[in-house]
Amino acid sequence: MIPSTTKISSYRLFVISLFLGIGAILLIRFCPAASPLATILIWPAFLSGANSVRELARYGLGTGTSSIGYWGAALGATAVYIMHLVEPGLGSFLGIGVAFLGGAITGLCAQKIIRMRIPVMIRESAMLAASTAVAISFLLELFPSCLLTISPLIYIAVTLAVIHPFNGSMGAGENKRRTIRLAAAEASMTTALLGSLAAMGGAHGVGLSVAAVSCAGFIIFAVLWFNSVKDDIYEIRWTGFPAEE
Amino acid sequence: MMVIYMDPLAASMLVIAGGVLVGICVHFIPTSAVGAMSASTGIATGPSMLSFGAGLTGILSASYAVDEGLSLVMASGAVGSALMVTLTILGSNIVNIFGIGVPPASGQTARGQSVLARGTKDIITGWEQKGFVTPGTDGHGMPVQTHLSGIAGGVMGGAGGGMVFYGIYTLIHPTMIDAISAAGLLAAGVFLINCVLPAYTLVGKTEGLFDQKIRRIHKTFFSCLVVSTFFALVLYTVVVLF
Repeated sequence: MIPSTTKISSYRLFVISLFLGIGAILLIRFCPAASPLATILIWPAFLSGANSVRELARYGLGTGTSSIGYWGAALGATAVYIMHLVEPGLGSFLGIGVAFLGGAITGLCAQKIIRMRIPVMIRESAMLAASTAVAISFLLELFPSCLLTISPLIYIAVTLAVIHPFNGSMGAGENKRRTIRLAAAEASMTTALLGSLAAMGGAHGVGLSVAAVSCAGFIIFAVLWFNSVKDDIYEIRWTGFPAEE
Repeated sequence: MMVIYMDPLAASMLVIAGGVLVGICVHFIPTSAVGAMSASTGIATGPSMLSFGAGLTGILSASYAVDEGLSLVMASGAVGSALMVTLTILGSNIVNIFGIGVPPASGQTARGQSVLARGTKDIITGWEQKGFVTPGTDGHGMPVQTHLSGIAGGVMGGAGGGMVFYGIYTLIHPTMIDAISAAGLLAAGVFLINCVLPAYTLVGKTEGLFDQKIRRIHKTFFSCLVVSTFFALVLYTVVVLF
């Protein structure tokens, strides 16, 4: 359980998610038996992406939270797909690097050319793009034979998993803990969906194990998120109805 | 079936030019988040999402003409995209006029701040705008001048999307069987990346060509040029070196 006082910096979360995510990609590629562990290791990439969306969107950029997520995931997905043209084996890792660089360049353009005064613009743009690239690379590993067919679904699923946590928690009482917990629930939901599809598509063992672990994770994270929602709601002191005299 | 012969460098240039055109088109398509409450002139959505929708339609229609050469790909994309924008504006105006009961009126023109028009009249029809804007709002719906600006934006976006699509297709088709699908995916990605930068410039709302924000178009141009160049460079490197 994440204590309420946890203040993990977005940079640290990204670094952790990057290493764990690369580990997850390697595990699912070379050791399919370890796919349950790989599934758990990929979730921080979703958390990092959702956190970057939160860090960017809370400044009020002039575009919607969804646009930020779609843009970040588009960078990640485009970079990974382009790099898969080189060689599928290395493509994922090169794609993550290109996505990071692309995100940084876009952030730099926003900062220097468009002159947006957002101090975290370059850093968070780069981390958002790279985090989504990590998540997309992992999910593509579940479908090695039908990359092009499944790519749009993976793109949309990852996009929703990173944009919705902040969008769903937005408002006066939004806080990082609740948003991250919702992100964890949505990350596990996404891997459960794609795992089930992989199981139906032929990768029975890996797909089922990914789906099973994801379902268990979803239950845990959904309960955690629900608890934090309840905690935050209890802070409301007045219901709107005047007390009976 | 026309056989495609295009130098990889020329194809990369096409991706860059298309990417920039995609970015610029966002300035021409009237959008406004508060348009959903008829509190502002423009289609009720964010600029990037609507432009992306138009672009995707353009890429889809462009893909039907991929064997016919660049000019037809661009034309097909432009028509598809413009049609999408036109129908969206039409639907939006129907809802505004018959659902909410407000006439299409340009807020900026009513205030005399239109970039091209002098006074408070629609530059195309000459219809007065001032008396038709509900107090407390910044216009509502899409009057004729704004509609035409949207069509121009759709044409640019669709043609730009078609250029990106054709450029990527030309680059990758010698090495891939499913080159059309892959080119469509990558073109959609490039489109989406270039759509968000203008949204930063527009701060969520524009009336199109007649909006004061059209003066910031150079910022969009340069930022989209940089980002598109980066992706074209990566694509070129991947295709030519590997």
